[in-house]
Amino acid sequence: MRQAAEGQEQDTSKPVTSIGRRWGMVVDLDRCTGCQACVVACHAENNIALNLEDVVLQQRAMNWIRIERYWEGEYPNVKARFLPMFCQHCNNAPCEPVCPVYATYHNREGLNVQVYNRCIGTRYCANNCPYHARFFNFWERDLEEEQREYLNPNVTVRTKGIMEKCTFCVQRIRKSEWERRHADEELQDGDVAPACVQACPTDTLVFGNLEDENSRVAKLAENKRHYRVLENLGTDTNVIYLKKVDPHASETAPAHAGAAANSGRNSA
Amino acid sequence: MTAGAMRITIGALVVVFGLVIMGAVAWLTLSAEGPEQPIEFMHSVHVEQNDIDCQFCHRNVETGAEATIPAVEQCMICHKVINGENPKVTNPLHVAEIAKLQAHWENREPIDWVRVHVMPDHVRFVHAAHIKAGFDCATCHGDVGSMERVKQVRSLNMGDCVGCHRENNAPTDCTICHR
Amino acid sequence: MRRRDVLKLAGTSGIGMGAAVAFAGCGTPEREFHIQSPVDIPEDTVTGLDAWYASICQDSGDGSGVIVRVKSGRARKIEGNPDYPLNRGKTSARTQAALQTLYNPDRIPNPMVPRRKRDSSRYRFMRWDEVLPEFQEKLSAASNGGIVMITEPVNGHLGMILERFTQNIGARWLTYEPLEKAAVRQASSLVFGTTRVPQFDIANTSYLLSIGGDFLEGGDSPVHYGRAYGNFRQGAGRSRGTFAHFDTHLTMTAANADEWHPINPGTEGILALSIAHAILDGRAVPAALQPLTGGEGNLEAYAAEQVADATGVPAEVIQRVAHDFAAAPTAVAMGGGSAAGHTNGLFNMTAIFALNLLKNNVRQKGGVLLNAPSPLEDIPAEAPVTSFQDWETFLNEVDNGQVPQVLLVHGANPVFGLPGVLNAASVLGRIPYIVSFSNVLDETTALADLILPDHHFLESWGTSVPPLGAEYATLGIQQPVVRPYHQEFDGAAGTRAFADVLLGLAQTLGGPLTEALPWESMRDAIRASVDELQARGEGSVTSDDPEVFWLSVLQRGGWWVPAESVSPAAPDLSSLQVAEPDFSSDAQAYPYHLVVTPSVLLGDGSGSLAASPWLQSTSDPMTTGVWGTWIALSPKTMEALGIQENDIVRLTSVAGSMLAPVYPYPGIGEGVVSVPLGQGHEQLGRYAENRGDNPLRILAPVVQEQTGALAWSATRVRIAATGRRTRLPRIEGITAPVQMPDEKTFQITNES
Ligand code: SF4
Ligand code: SF4
Repeated sequence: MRQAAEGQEQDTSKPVTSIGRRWGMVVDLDRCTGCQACVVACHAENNIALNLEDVVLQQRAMNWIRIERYWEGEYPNVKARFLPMFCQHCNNAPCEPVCPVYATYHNREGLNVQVYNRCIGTRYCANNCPYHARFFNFWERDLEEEQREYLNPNVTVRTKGIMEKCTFCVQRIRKSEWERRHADEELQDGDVAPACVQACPTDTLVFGNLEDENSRVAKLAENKRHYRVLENLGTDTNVIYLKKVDPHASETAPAHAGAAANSGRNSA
Repeated sequence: MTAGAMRITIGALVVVFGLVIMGAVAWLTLSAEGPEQPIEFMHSVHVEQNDIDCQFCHRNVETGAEATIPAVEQCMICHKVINGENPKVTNPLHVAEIAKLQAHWENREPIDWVRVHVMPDHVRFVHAAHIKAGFDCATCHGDVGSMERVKQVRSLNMGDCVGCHRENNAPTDCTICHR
Repeated sequence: MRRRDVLKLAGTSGIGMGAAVAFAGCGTPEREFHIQSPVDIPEDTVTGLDAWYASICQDSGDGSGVIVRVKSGRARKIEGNPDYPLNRGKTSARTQAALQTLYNPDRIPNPMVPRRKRDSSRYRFMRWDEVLPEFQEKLSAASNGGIVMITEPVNGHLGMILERFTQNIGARWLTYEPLEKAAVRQASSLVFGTTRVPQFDIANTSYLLSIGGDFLEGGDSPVHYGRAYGNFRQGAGRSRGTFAHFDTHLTMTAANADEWHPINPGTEGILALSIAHAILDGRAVPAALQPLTGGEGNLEAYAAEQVADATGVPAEVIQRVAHDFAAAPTAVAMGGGSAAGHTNGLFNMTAIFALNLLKNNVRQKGGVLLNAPSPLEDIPAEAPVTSFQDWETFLNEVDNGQVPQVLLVHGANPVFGLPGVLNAASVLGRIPYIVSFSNVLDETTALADLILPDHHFLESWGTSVPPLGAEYATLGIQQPVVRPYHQEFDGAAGTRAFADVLLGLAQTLGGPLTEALPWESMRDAIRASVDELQARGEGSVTSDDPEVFWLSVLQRGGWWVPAESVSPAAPDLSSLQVAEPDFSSDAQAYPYHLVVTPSVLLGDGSGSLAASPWLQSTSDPMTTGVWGTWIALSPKTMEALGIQENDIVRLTSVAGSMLAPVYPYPGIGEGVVSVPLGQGHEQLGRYAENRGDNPLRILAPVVQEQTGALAWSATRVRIAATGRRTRLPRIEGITAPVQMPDEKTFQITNES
């Protein structure tokens, strides 16, 4: 556990022991159009259960990545803002210390890992995640023969009673790793792209090694527009957002998104 | 004895019983002969007697995650000529089994082999990485070449994998094997 | 061949049974105790790596180039083809979901005939050799003009084959496009001299003005424009572009603009002229644009103050936008969406497009780029589109007794899409012999006497000329990436490629048909064209060896060559009539303006997209609604009508009525109602049928002036509560927003 004792200095920018690799993502909000390509790409890559109508109505739909939509202002000066949200792979993850069986832990590459076969389904982690990035399998899958055909053979089909969340497509990381190793080469910047990153038409999402200062993601993370979501919680996320640019922000918009009149809309 | 204690005893019994069964299964898997297959394929005939390389059939083992089971078409590369009509094939068992293979080819019907090494769904195992690191097929699979019916020789459970990874200084992060 | 059911446990030895029993309790499926030897050597066994095949995606609506991951003989993932000029490795949600239209449990696996005529509840599976002879007979008997072929608008080789087939067999060919883009096409032909809608170079422009344009959600290619939009905003080596948008309500495209202004429906052309007036700032109207002045010779009638009331846009906004547009180093004006669906759609679009002439940006970087022609002369880049007026005429003829003998349908679903008042189902149902080539049971196919299911596009051959492509003349090649899922190995049953069936008919029917279509299969036809390209010795792939060339073209997903610059024809607006919008009905009885919006996920409801549970369950970008239809109303309208969220209301137009729950939509004005398209199917399998309602049904059959297209924005409705309530499934609210009221979570800056 990395909670520093009071008054003690600690460098939270690095995982426990660095191995020169810390996976991270930059989300440029000025590019995102809300097109949902990333959402479907994630479903296709990660064998996520189908969100059938009654699943949605029971508020148990699973989306490892979702696009939150915030209303801002009043008609006709109304605006809608899109915020892609997924597991932030916190270096100081609130979900980790509460797991009684260590099914979720932080690995040395900066990934917040969920070990499915260790998970016993207490759902403590989901309750403790400030980003609502975790989803619980309330049902066993009931797939038709046809629907098994497109399952990704590199990803477990989770069973009932297991917690799941964005993995940064760890299967793709591992694959690129051993493909490079097979050719006796080092992993290069740009080798690994999670499904959402690869699909995104606007290049909103950029993935890479934050510890490699020459990587695209590390350079973008230095952009003057950078910030982290819920930064003041001290979760020290590996996902860095770049602020949306709105030339008229100071004229029409309130200081923060979601005018009070509409803030209930997202928290029904 | 109170009802509560009774329940605990029964619970304990169930657990013990379960463990015994699991132990028995593990023991059976490791010790007994391998499972019966739809075609009585003999590794001993192919490897020991005819000196065919593992990779001739399991073509992906050096480059892919799966070693792969050969396609019927590949079996037929040889068995077009090595069959009952060939005077050198005399053993009636062999003739009969090769005939089954030919039937699959002619009917274009895949063969459903019975898996011998079953890995749980949450395990990622990459054959190529292990071959690249210099391991022999036999390290995990035993001397398949001499087996008539393939059986599992190593437990291949998590302890087995982690132990070997530790000995060889291979990574032991959960995400290396768990997916 | 269908994979055999491997569930039954073959191992009879004690070990096999023992293991199975022990694991059954832990939930390991029994299927995992088997491993299959495929019959043929799979291609991925040669390299040990995943096999990726390049092809074209037909579900995305734009023919995106894709690469498909094939593992164990099944398509597992679709990604964008990084080389393909249209989308450069990017994909839309629809492309991603194409796996579900391929492995759709409700696909039609075999030819089938209904047990009772016009009864779509029970069918009998048939073999091809049982049904083809009769089919051929009926065709020959009707080939003197008694055949009608209905398809979606298709280009590429299928377009060529359809054209030659219908011509030589003497059939009438009708194509069906639900939200007709005739006004956009005709306006670009007037202004830019080409009916192919040009490519607006937003990636390199500094000011983007869009009036009704829906390029991020509908339009020609949301993926192409999505990619361009990313660069427009934060592209390397350029300063951030500015984007102003006018629309009837806050669409997804509007939500991405820097400034968005509501505009009164139908006045988009007036706004454009007012902007033109402000840009000209007293200078004379250029000669080419004179017809837009309606004979006045000047645009004084469109001064900002004069039109502010009519358009609902304040005069200072018009002036500012005009100033920014004129002052920007590069600027481009786009239009489309509902602006093109009014009775005066042609005028609207022409006026909008004409703004580009004032900026003099045609064929300029950051301006309007003209598309390269199809690389092959005989392969059309565009399909003919049958206008709504012609559809009406056709249905009237049938209704009045001029009934054709045979109707062939492929890829189009007019019964679902045509306005309900035309009664397309019962009129088409009078045709004695209907053959559908659809591989899902849609509303039009439900009428069929014979269904000859087509392969999925990932199982068959085809080509595509991308809708946008100024840089390259491109021929995208769609190759089968997997074997047909529903096919016996002798081909006697299962699905069969539509083009191959047509070519087969051409061979057997003989005569000019055989001459016009000399190929045995679509693959041969494409191969012949590719050989032609090889002989040119230029382009993305070159080789002296035709075989090497063919394989490389397949590997790259197509062939393209840098386009020679197309010189634009001089604009000729002389035939244009300046027009006011005309709404189908009086504003008293029908006070609300209905805007039907294509969904970024389900499109306009044609095709089988609604059968994909991924697309059904992915949140609509603006409302987050899923699995249904909703009616987006302004909270003020709801208050005035005493309607609550989730109340089911009835929308009634002159042409019919529909029911759906209400969604309070902050981005819509009081007089406007917006309803998403894509739902309301009576057929289409378990995931789509009897879900939501279809607003296309209640559109008034009003025809656009000059183009003959359906004026799909010209319907007015009234709203009535039904007293019933439901819960619209939606994604918002499932997780609490990460935003805190006292903290800036969604952060915005005003410095770029
Ligand atoms: S975002 Fe949530 S699930 Fe992900 S690491 Fe942080 S606390 Fe854990
Ligand atoms: S794919 Fe990209 S642009 Fe589309 S919603 Fe996702 S992050 Fe935004």
